[in-house]
Amino acid sequence: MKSIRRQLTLNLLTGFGLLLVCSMTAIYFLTRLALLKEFDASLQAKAWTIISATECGRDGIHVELPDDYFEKANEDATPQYYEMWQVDGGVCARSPSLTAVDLPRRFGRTDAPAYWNLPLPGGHAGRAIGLEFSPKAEDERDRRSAPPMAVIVVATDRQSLDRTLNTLAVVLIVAGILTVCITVPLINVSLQRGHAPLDQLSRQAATITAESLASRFSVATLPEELQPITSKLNDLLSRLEQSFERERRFSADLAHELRTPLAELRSHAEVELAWPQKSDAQNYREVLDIALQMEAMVSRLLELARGENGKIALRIETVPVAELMEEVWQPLAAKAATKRLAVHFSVPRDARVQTDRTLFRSILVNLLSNSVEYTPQAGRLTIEWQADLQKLTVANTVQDLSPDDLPHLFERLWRKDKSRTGTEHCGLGLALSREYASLLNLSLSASFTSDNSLALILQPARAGAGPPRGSETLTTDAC
Amino acid sequence: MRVLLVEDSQRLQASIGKALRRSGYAVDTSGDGETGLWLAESNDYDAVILDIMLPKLDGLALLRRLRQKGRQTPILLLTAKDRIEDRVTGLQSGADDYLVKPFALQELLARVQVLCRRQYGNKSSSIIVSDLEIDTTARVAKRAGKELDLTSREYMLLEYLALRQGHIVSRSEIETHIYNDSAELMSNAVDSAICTLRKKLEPGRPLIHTRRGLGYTLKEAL
Repeated sequence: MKSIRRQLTLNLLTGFGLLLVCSMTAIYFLTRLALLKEFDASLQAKAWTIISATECGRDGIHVELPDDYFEKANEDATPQYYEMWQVDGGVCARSPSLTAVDLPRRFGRTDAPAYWNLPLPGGHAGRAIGLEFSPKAEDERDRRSAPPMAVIVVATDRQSLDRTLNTLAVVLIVAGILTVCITVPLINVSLQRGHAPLDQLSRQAATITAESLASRFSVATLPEELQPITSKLNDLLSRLEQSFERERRFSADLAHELRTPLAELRSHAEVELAWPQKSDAQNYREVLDIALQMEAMVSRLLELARGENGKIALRIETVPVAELMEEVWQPLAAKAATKRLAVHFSVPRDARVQTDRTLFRSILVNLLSNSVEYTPQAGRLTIEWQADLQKLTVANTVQDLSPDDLPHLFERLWRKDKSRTGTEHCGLGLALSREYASLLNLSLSASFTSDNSLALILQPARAGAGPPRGSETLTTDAC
Repeated sequence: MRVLLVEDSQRLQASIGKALRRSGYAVDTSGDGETGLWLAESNDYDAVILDIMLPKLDGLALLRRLRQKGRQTPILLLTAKDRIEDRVTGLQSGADDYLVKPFALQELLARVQVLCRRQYGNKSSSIIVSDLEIDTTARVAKRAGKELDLTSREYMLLEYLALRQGHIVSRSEIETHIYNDSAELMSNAVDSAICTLRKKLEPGRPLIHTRRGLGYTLKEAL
């Protein structure tokens, strides 16, 4: 499993380790360079000591060093050797410590001597300097003629330098390892502290269940990096809470809706069993009515579920709106007349809409039957189709509805009448219509008009072209 | 026994009303809370069966108003609301019992019977007056161990008198608690029912005594 803490620890350690290795290497090589430079300067000084003791006479080049010069030097821990040649001749001087072995004849200019490492005759590692020089003349006469050039190579044991460099390397490696060892817990502690708000968030999130969705994460106390995430989590919780609440209410309403017809059916059957009487059609009609009511509710719920899951196949065609409206209105006209409703239709006769006829018809049936059902006696009902906007408005006077009820109008099983008396409407029509509208890329909304009417508005969810303007309008008034 | 049924479902009202009447209860019905409250305040019921979600005035508000006015009529809440909080609220509002829809009719009848019995201070399902024994659960009356052949109305009349044994029960009380409406009542309906009951209680010492101008009392003969 991926762990941010583990990943961060690994990345930090790798980065820190690389930085440490680079720094240590740089320290080592810079120190080595400085020490070598110092060592070489010391070699050069030795070479010049010998050169200054070298003279060129008629009998050739000879070195005037005290006899015990090299013996004393070699008594130290660092043996020293030198050998001198004439450029065009043989060896003219050499240290007594060089027995039969010659030093390599390698040299640079006086101002740029050659330095190199070499194995010393004793087997130790050594370092040498080689340069070409002009020895000073022994007397005045010799000075007048150009002196012959000579080459000197001075070598010395470099064990002490190597020991120093090795010690430095060991110190640096040990210091590096110790630093890494100390850094690991330090990084862990730092990350732990840095992650504390995340852990707190995690613990808080772990306590949230379906029953405690009302709780929210405290944003103010969190670091600013976590605040946007936590705010989003709080928003999510809020949406979840609303969704759970809606589902809970829906389940409770559904149970209630089914309990009453079930109670009717059961008590009806039990009464008939307890006090049997000659069976008549009325009994069966009662049972049939209850069954139809329950069937209608279950069917609508299934349709709603299918709509929500997008399982309804659409068949888009050109639908004549006025014709469809008349077809839908026909079975409702009698009830509207009984209630003495003032009905006003304003639908262009040639209005067309590209839609799925079945779903569009279902929406119209729901909107119109709802309006007829809930418009009070002698109320007003207006159905208007705006061809240019492809917008349908069904407005009717209302009695008990208030603007506070608008957000609930499209909730499943919501009914203004808390007693839920009556059997024809179960509060699913508008929820279903909105779902169908959404499938048809339409929006269904509700608003209150200035004359205290409820307007249900069906219109394209996104702007779209409507039929040509100035088309003929069918205007019908019915009372 | 007179029972008020306040239920907005017409079908449920019809079937429960029928079951209660067939069980010998006098039943008044109402489809909304306002009428229900008016009936409950205007009449002396032995029990009220009350739905909660009612038009005009909900059942809990009706219940509270009745209790505020000091009416102690036993009330059974009959509702589709099945949550514990709903039951607690209902009982705390003054209901005597709570039954959730859908329900078994026999259970409803048994609970109504218990409420009616409790109205007269009788908690037992058996009422004994001398050698008369009434089993209110089985709705059977026995005299000297022999079962009496009674119609449901005769049984209800006998049970009503037995529940109030030793007390004088007026003719109008009997009319109110036993008969469904005035249409069923003839001028001598109560006298004739008492007469029939007396005959069915024979042989043995008379148990139903007439107090002239006052009514009837059921008690062991002195």
